[in-house]
Amino acid sequence: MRVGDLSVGILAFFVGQRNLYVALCDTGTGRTSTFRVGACSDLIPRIELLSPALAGTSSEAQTEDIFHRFSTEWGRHLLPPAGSLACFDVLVLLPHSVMHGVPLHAVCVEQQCAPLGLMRGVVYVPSGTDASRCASRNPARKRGVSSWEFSLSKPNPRLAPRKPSRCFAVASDVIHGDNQRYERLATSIAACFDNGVVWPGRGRDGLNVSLIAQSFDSLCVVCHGYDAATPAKSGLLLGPSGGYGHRKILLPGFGWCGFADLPFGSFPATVTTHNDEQGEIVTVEELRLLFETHAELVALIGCSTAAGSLIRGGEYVSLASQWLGIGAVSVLGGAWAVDVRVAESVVPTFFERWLEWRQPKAIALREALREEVTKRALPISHWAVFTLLGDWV
Amino acid sequence: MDIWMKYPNYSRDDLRLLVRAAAAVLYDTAANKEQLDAGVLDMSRRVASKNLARDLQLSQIDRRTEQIEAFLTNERASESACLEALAEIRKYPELAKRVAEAYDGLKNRMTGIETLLAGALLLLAIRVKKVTLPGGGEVDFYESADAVKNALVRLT
Repeated sequence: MRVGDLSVGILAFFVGQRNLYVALCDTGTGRTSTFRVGACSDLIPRIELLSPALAGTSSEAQTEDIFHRFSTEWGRHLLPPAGSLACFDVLVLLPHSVMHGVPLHAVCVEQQCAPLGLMRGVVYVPSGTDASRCASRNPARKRGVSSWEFSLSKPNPRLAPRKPSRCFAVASDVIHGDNQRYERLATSIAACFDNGVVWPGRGRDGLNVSLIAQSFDSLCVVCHGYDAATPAKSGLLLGPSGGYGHRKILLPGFGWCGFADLPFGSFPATVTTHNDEQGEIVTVEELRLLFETHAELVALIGCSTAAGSLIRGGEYVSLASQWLGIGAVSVLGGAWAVDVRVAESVVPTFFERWLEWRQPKAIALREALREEVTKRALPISHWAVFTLLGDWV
Repeated sequence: MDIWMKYPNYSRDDLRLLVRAAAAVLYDTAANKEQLDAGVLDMSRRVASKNLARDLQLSQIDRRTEQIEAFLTNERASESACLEALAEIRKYPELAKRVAEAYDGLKNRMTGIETLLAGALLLLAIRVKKVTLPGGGEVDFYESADAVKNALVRLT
């Protein structure tokens, strides 16, 4: 299968005052069709029904019921007719307004049909600008991808771009104290790279990440996510705290200097750590101000790392989208609560498919999820939580 | 190890998870589910206090909403009440097993529970009269309501 032969569709949503529209663009032919998918008065209250499941405030049975109804009943009303999507291998979704955070990859577009995320490669991009930025900064696209060949059944790539080789992985379970388990997952991911480094989750992880992330092809963080009421305060829970951190800053006329700095944000008071020590949080606002990355993929394996909120101006703020904002090509995140047992199986398979089999990321995620769902009957909430953002290649 | 083996010596994190698991299981398995508030697990402390005060009043126990709210705000006091509610659940092995499974599921999530869902657990422990377990078994839970009410009276 050649990457150049994959059929890619872009679905751009527009929430009007009365109706929800979606424009479907076939990137192969350049043809665009616009659909009015429904009335806002009907669809927005339904979308709101997803909130307890996404926020984790419903019981397990309620959560599965909410996802099941969304997946098999009303979710398809948010998408164009099934026939118009049938020809695409990859769908790039550009949500708008209330459509941000809606897990459309969990929707079965036809009755008796598997969910979109198991049938096609699906990637979300916060905006059209992000879509073109992420694609243009992707090293894999530099020499063109049309002749890149990959297989779905064996690791036999041809004419694939250079495999990313350097990975920096951080693991920390500040809440339950099961650092070893998180480190094992980080290690299994780092092992997919020729040069994988695992940071064992102690000391000033947050600022170390900021120092080191710039020079790695991939960054992987296995930790608890924190979804704050104020989106900019959401973050990755790391630690324990090591007090001051040291990083390099560029002073005009002096060059690079060492700089001792306090943590940017305080560890949330409502979160209890397993050993009663203060932890650290790397927040969205800290990323925005201090971080920069050139990573081809940032994997944020933790709860709600891809979940966000709309702020003024219609901007959707999430940890995952912020990583795209500071230079990442693609981000793999959790849209709600991630079960570590599922992550232990899906995430290493995804990395193997991407790095060894050289499947484009969106296809690698689809294959990893498909394999997991085939192996054991998983509830939707367990597999659909994994969300890819940014460039699909 | 089964979480019940540790009873009542739980870390704060363990107790929050166990209370969340117990409340969710009581809600999911309640035979009178349609009479329960679907948003009970996400209920604010104020609303839970109002509901608890109303339920106590039905049993001729006079407690003001503010009194109960103050009690729910006091983590140590509400932890004690939760332990008493959990003790009631522990009496029914099938139900306790289901709660332990739900606890394990929550423990495997890469997130923490930020608040003790004391209001939800106490409310459900009072309102759920019978639970229907997935295997078909039924547990009469009505006796537990009095025990939980007594604990509330003692602690508020």
